[in-house]
Amino acid sequence: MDPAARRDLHDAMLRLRDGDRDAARPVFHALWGPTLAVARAGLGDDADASDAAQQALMKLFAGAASFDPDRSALGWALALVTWEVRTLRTRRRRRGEDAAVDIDAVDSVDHVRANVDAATTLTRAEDVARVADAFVRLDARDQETLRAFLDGEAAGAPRERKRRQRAIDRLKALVLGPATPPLPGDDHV
Amino acid sequence: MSDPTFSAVAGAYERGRLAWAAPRALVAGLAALPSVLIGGSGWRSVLMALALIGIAAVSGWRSRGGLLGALAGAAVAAVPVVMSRLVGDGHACAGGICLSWCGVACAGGAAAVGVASGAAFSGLRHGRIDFVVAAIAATVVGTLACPVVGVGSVVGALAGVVVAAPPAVVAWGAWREAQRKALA
Repeated sequence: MDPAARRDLHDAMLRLRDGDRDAARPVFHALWGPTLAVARAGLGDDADASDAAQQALMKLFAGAASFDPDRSALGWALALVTWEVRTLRTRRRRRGEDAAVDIDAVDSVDHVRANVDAATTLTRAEDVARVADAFVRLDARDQETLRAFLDGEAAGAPRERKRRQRAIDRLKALVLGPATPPLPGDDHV
Repeated sequence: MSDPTFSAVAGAYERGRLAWAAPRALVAGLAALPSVLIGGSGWRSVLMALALIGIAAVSGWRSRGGLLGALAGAAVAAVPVVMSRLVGDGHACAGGICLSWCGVACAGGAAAVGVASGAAFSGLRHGRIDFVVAAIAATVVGTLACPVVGVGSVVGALAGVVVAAPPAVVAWGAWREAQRKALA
């Protein structure tokens, strides 16, 4: 989504928050595509992906009156759909339907390849979702700094470069989560 | 994307708005509390509190501006009851003209509410009509809960709002515009 479209979405979301029903369709149209894409990448199956995207947008619209103007509507939608994808995949795993864990059904090279491809796609989707999830948890200033970076704006002053690096470090820390305890034998320096 | 999907999402939005407005509407009902505690008009105040809650809930479901308007109107209606208790029913006369302390105090108290309401109104980008309609409805209904207060106090309160709110609308709007330009 380009910066102008993001601004339009944010503006429409603020109108929706205030109670302007005319803003509902623009917000829905702007979010449906990216939300469905993340759901498809995570679930594969079209019907399940549609369900996950719809559930995510229903939650977003239900909470629209409390939308925080300092946050990104797109980031919120992606975080919600990530959660829906995780929930559906957990349910699938419990039922033994998830292709990525269907190890017992391996009976040919093609089958192995298909499973590996599916697992790779799902892992990538999870990685994207984790980054999106971490991004929306950053404060507004860090989000703006990283957006400028992604939009290709050059960081001129050393102060701006430091700010950018700090934002990236904070994003990394959120993506990786709390530091894992060292393994036995890792305590040497 | 299909229309049933949008309908489901739009339905969730309406339910979410009502869930957002309902607890906030209870605050409007508190405006009738002074008339129960001070005026002793029990059942009448309870009815008016319920009416104020209803107005605020419906207005808040419609828009954020509606909820703010209802809260502002309820606050204006509560001013005469509170002020009548604080300043009593004394008056001052000069040159053949007598002024009730309560009327003056009501105008002052309501002016403060008017400034806050004006700032809230000028901060709205949507729902300004809802704000005005809800504010008028809540003021009228809330005033009915104050049988112990004279007409002069109510008129004083309304005059305070009418005088104080427009400058606040203009000043707050200009300040916001300056802030926006500074950030751009």
